Amino acid sequence: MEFTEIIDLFCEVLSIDDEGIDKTTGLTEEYGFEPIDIAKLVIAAEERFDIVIHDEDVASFKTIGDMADYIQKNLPEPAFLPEHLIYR
Amino acid sequence: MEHDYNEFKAEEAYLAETISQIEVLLSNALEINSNSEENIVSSKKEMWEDAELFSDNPFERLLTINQFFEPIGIQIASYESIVNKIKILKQMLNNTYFARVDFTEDGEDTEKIYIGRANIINEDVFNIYVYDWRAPVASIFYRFEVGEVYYDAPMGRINGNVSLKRQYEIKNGKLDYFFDANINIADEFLRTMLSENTSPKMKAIVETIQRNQDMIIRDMENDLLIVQGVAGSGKTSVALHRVAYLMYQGLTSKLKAGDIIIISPNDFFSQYISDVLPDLGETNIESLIFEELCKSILTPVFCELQTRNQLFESLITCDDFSKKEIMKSSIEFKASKTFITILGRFIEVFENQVIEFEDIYYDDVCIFDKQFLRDFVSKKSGKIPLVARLGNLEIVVFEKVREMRKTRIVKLENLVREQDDHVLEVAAYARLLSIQESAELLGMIRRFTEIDYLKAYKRLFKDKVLFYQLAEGLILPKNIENILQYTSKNIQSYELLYEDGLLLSYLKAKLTGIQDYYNIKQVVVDEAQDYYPIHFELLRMLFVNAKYTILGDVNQTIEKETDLTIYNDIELILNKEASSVVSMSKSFRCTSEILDFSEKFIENKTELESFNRHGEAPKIIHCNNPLELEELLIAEINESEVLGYESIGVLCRSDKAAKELYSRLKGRINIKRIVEGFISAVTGVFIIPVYLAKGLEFDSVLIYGMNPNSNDEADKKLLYIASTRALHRLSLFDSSNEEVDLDGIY
Repeated sequence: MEFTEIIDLFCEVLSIDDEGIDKTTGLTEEYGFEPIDIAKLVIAAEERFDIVIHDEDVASFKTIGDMADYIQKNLPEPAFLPEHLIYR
Repeated sequence: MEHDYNEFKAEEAYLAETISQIEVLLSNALEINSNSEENIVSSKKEMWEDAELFSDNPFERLLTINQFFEPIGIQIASYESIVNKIKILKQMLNNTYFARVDFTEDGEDTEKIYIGRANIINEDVFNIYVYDWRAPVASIFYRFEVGEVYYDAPMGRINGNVSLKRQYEIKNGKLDYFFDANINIADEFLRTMLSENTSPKMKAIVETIQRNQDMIIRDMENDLLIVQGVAGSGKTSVALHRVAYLMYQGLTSKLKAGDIIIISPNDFFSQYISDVLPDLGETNIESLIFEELCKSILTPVFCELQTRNQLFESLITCDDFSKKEIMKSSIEFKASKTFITILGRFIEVFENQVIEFEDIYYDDVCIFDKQFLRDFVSKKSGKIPLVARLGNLEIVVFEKVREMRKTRIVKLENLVREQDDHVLEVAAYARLLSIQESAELLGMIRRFTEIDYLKAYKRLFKDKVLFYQLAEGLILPKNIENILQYTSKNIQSYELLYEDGLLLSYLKAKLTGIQDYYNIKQVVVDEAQDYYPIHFELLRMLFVNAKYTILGDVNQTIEKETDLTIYNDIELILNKEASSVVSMSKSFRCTSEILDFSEKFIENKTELESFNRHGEAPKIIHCNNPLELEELLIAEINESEVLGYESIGVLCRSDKAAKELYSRLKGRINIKRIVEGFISAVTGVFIIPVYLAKGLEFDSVLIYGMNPNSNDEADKKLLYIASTRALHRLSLFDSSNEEVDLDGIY
């Protein structure tokens, strides 16, 4: 997963453009985000990346970077074909 | 010493042959070095290029870089060992070897064993030109005179005979002189070395290691080796050579530099000794001060810890008798075995009496009651540290919560639907409610799954019912109430007292079960006399798999009553299978005159043995007028400089006194003040508090502003420490009103 994918998702969900948004952008009202935005972002990320974000963990997302790290850690393991099944 | 001309020629020829072998080894090493340097550079370059090529994505780039890290780490390690080797070989071009023994193993031919800093071997023909001083066979040079000898090799004891012991002075690859050594001549050699001026930093002493020092350096029997060494007996030096020896032994037992840790009394001291091991060809051995250990345990903690030097300073400069008494009794009690027992009991009752569990509700149902939580945590007590058990508890609780969340969300959605405002965003608002209540739930659970160590520690002193319950059956000091009150008051401040920092570290380490130091195999503790039982309890907890070398001198404590029983306590606490206490009673640093003078300040005199090097008698300069006294001090500094002494130390009772004197002297003479953690080379004139000068030495020492007649035990110890810093010249400047009546001093 690319970090830009998170940014894209972020802008898409909240209908904003990505100017000035990076890893350190805070998920707070100070940066113009409402609590409901976070909930929307959580739902969208679960769908897009096929993961579960536990509600009790959300409080620890202080920045977009924190959320990206969480998603990265919880991505489903990519499935690899066993060596003998790979067609060469 | 006259030698046969042919003998001298033969020695010169051997030296030349050895040097040409060193040159071969050196050029090989330089070649390998430049290759590996190139390899490392190209690997690093490749790493960055590949990592960049792989992806712009930082996660992927990190993964790629990680694949490279390990091989580069290995390359760097071998590169460093080559760099060390080059350094030693270059040294040996100048100072090739320092001794030879002609050894005949029973039933074999006589071999000439030359001894130097490292092995010089021609591997093609298996010819050993020089033996590393740490090689088993080299021990016969340090331990025996001419005659029957033995040494312990890996395959067992080797017996034989030494027919010749010879020592060399080789400078810049040229043989200056040599002499065949019987004990007196060897002593003469040492005396010549000792009469030289001190060097800016401590140096290696491989040429002059004494028999009993060698026994300590090469001891492999003991898991705990305690050395009581008088001032100037070379205990720090011996400890460092022991580390070098263990590393050499480690070539076969896989001991690495990272497996050894040296615990120094302060940063300044760490820097002072920092040249010795590299000089012996060993690098990357970590030296720590105790406070750093505590900090690493307590991180992150939002308070400052008082350092040991700050404690010394505040004790020494405290004029208020009752305040000083409470400071001293606070540390003596809280760092004692009794208090460790109390703290141990506190930890035992922690989960039952200190942690306040609460019933946990989710979706309006009590999912776990507090009794369940308490039982869950108590279940595996003793085996798993409390913090880990609390972590597990959190996991169990949230597994249950997550199970119930689906139905909970449905309920929340219905709730949102009932509110007309958010009909279009039911899912998002329901999720928001769930996130908010989960955050609240987590916060509530963390009140008992996360330990606030400082708060818990505070409670121990505030909750007197609990304290006396924990102290039941133990003998408490008479002023225990004052100690509790004093501690409670101090914990409120931003800076924790030295002993509270130690105890808080102990509490946290015990509850979390820190395993960061399990790889350490050897711990060296210097200046151990200033440590209390709590220090050794902490060491035992942190360095579970380590063997110990502990050095101290009970006569050199600061503001603390210590006798030889401290070593029994250490043995009991560290509880190693094989341990012994050895004593180094001969002082090599000071002249006999300085040693005699110093002895007057200590009780335990019988132990102190002089090496019998003579010099000027120490002087006491007494003057009531401080201005005049300062003039006399400056005159003595000048005199010491004229006499050619390179390091001159002005020692004061405290840092406060040092600072004041410095501010008056700095405009008049070239003088530097040593403060904690700062060092430039120790040549020149320095001003320093006594407690910071511990372990250091100066050619000429000037003790300023201390009363040689003092009856105060702590001051007498300071005077002893200060006097024994001097190699050649000592003077004491006293401004007290008392008359001097020490007999026969001047």
